[in-house]
Order: sequence, then structure tokens, then C-alpha cells
Amino acid sequence: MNTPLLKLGALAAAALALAACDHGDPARQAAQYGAAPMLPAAKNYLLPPMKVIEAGSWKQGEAPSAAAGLKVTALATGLMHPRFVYPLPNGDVLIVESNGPKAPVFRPKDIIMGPIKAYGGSAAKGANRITLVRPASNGAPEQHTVFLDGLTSPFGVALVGNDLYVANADSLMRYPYNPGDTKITAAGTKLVDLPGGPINHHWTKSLLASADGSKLYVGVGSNSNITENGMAAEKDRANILEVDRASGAVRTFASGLRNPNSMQWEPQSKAMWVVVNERDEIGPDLVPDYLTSVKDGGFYGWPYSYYGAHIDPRVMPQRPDLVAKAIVPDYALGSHVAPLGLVFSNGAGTMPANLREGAFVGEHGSWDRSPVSGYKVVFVPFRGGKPAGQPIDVVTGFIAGEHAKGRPVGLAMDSSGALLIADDVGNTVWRVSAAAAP
Amino acid sequence: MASPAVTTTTTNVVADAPRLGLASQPVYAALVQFPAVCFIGALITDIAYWRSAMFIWETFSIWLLTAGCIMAAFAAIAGLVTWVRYHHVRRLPFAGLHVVTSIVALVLSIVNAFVHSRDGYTAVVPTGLALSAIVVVLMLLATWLGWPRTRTVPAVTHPHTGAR
Repeated sequence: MNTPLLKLGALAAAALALAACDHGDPARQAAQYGAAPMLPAAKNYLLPPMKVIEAGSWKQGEAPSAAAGLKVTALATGLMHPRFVYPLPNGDVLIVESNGPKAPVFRPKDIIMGPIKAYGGSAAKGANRITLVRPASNGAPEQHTVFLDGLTSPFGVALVGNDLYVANADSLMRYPYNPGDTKITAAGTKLVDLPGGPINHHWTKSLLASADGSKLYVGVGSNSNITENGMAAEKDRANILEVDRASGAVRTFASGLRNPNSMQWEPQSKAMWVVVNERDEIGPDLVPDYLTSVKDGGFYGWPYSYYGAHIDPRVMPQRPDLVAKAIVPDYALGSHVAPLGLVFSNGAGTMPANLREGAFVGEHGSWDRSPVSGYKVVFVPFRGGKPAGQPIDVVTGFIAGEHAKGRPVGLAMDSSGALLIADDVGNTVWRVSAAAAP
Repeated sequence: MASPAVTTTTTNVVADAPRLGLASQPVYAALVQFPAVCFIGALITDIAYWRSAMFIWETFSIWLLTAGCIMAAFAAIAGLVTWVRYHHVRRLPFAGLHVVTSIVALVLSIVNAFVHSRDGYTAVVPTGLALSAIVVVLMLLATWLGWPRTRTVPAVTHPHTGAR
């Protein structure tokens, strides 16, 4: 009587074990950099592969390790979940300390996934403020002030003239700023609402101003992994929105970008580039996250397809008309590395020669593949405004033993040409400069 | 009056023995309704999702499956107690088959809850929908197997009043 039952139980156990053991293949990972990543067939899982590294912390004096010719120092420590960093023209550095709004429970899965991701540090409280750091100079000691407080899960910052823009998770705000200010007390003016709650799944709103300052670009991530919250929840999402700075009018600049973050202007071509987090739960080696140039009016596939015409069967109804238009992204960074930070090397002097032309990418790190990927800052070399060559590991060592001491997020170049890294789990902003430089 | 042969049979059965089959065990009988309602509901909402691709139906299904599995676990505990405690229940016709069919339905529903926890269309179509349908068929079968069969239970005489 028990035999069929045992067989069924064994089958179920085997299926679960199989799912749990579906490791990301290191050889495959290496084949997923660049213009033509190897894309395995999509899989469906009972239990998708997962490996979450427990969040730790840096001990006094510890730091991530940098590539040869570079050194890492802490610009600021003891922060509350720093996600983004923005240098001001006078040398002051703004640090955005923030985390996402509380996610609602829609399905039993949400109850289970919350604690799993929290184990990796994603639930740590953000301060919802911006801290200003004025580095020590000319004998004056280093200065820290609370620059702007009481924000709502802020992420992007952009300064245009005397207007400082802050992208909250649900609104784009403008504040008056004068060079040398260490604190803003003005209430601020809302330029426009941004797609917000109640779900706000990908909540980080990145911000970039056009060269002439007339437009602001806002990165708005999707409201789901792959439309499981319905298409109505995806209005204006998975887009880069263009906001007219004078009128607040909004138009879609580019679409189909699942979670676009840290848009930047490429210095040679003056084109917009962005890093994008691709979809989960169809395999440890799918879908590679990417770095791409963004065309005005371009559609990049989400949710219907990835890397051009690779159709995602989880989306119904499908849109072959849109899939036919989907642009293949320029440069794959590897699956689930979670790129959130992007900054182009400004070529100003101090970086080693091999890190002067190209883009630094901050990879927050994976939760849904084993072994893990990301958890580092890489450099993608460029030639003539296009990626050229394999990514170079620039800052590593965020994982030590069983813990992630830190996780890199937003990046910036400071006025001296050093790279700044917001480390949200490590509650630190790191400064990476040439070993010989001050 | 009953013949001596019948009386012998009766004594055993009467000692702890309702003649109405598994339905006579009130705790088990009450709890086992919940997964039945939930899993039939999940099949209906799965069909609604399959026809409409409206995500809200998939959300209904996964909550119904989750609630059904939790209540089925309680029903399984009550069923196990009944099975161990009452010798006559084990001897009811088809009782063993009822147990096996019910457990298979529960195991498939747990698998189905994992399938329904996928994101998007493949949470339901085709595997989730198929599992929901199979589970409903198995539950109907289990109910039929555990249904009271008065004609197959020997007539009993009340030990004190003699009433039949």
C-alpha cells in the first residue's frame, strides 16, 4: 500500500534536490561577458536555485581589496545603508542613505522570500537622508553633516545650476542649493510624481541631467520579476523617463529595461548608458544582467523577451510586434550580478592606464545562483565609445568566509579622479585611488 | 432477534463502532472538508486564469492551495489518530485506498503550491492547471472510497436496547 506513496515522495524529493543543486556553471559564467553572451535554455523550477550570503560587517581597519596599483580607504563609515554617492562641484560628497519601502505580501511566496533576502542584508533600515561629507583639506578637519533629512527611500541625485534634484521612491523633488551649503532646510518642491507604491518592487529611482540641464532622466524599475503583479502595475515602469525640467512634463525615453540604474553619459559618444538587472527564476545562468547604450525610443525586451528575440514564456499575452523591435543590449555582465552602480572613468590623471577609458560597474551580488556572482566592482574597458574587452575586477573581497562584509551599490568619480563606492551592507563609502596618489 | 453468528460479528463492531464509515469520525470528517473546498476552488480559479491570463486568479489559486495544504495537514493528523485508535476503521472496505489516495492528493498539492509560486503564466499553465485537475479527481475518488456503505457493514444490534 505504501509503495506508490514512497515512489511519489522519492520523486518529489529528487525534484527538489535537483532544483537545489542546479549550480551556475563557472565556464558558462565566463561565456556571459560581452556582446554575444551564451544563453542556455530557460528552465522552470519547483524551487529555483538560491544562495544567500549572510550579511556581516567590516571590522575596524578592514577594507575590500583593490587591483594592483590601487588603494582603498574609507571616506565615511557608520552610515545607515548608503546606496548612492554624488560628488558636488566644490569637493563635498553627498551620500544617500536609503532602503526600499516595506514590500506588501501578495502571495505566500512573499512571506517566505522576505526573510531569505533579509538574511543577505536587504532589509536593513535606511536612514532616508542624505549625509554630506567634506573631506579634510588645508588643515580643516573632515566634516560630516546631515544634509537633507526626512526623505522617502531616496536614490538618485542630480545638481543643475542651483537646483538640487532628489529622486525619492515616489517623487522627484527640487531643493535650492548654493555652493558650500552643508545643510538644506527648505521643504523642497515636487517637480513630478514618480511611479510608487503600494508595491514599488524595484524602488530605486536613478537620476541623470542632460548636458544642457533642460531634461532630467529617471530610471524606473519594473514592479515585479516578470509581470506576476499584473500589467496594470507596470504603468510607466521598466522605463527611463524623460522629465522636462521647466514644465515637469514626462515622456518615455526608453522602455523594456527591467530595472535600469545609474544612467550616465559616455564621455566620447555623449550617448546615454545604463546598467540593467534582468529577470530571475529561469536558471542560474539566465538572464545575464547588462550594460547598454540607450537609444531614444528604444525598446529592450522586458517583459516579453530578453537579448532580442529570446521569448519569456511566463508572459501572457505575448507581444510579437514588440519582440520584433527589441534591441539587443550592448554588453552582458554575467547572470544575476545585480549591477546598480555605473560611472565612466573621467580619465583624469590618477587612475592606472588600463582604467582610464571605460566604465566602472558596481555589482551588488546575486541571491539566486550558486556559486554567487557579483559582489565586486568591475571595469569594462571602452574604445571609441564602445566596450572593448573583458571586464576587469577592480574592487573585490566583499565576501569573507561565510559572510558578505559589504555589498557595492552606487559609484561616482570624485573631483580628484578617485572612485567612490557606496557599500550598503558595510555601511561605508569607500574611496579607491591610485596607490601613489594622496 | 439476531442469529448467534451475526451476534458474534456484531459484538466487535459495536464495541467502538459506528457503521457509517470514515464519515463517522467527526474531527476528521470536519477537517477534511477544507482541502476539498480549497482544491476545488483552486481548480476553478486556475481555469479562470488559463482563460483570462488575469494574474488575480493565480493569486487566488496559490492562497487556496496554501490554505488547503495547511488544513489537509491537520486533517491528516486527525485521520492518523482515527486510523491508529479505531481498529474497525482500518477494516472498513477501501479504507486503505482512501488513505493512500488522500495522501497522494496532498503530496501533489504541495508540489502544486511550489509550481504556483513561480512568477507569471507558467505558474499555472500547463503544469499547475493539470495538477489542480488531478488533485480534484483524486479527492473525489478518496471521498467515494471513504463514503459510508451501510449495505456493506453488517447489521448491528444495540447491545443494551436490542434495537437495530
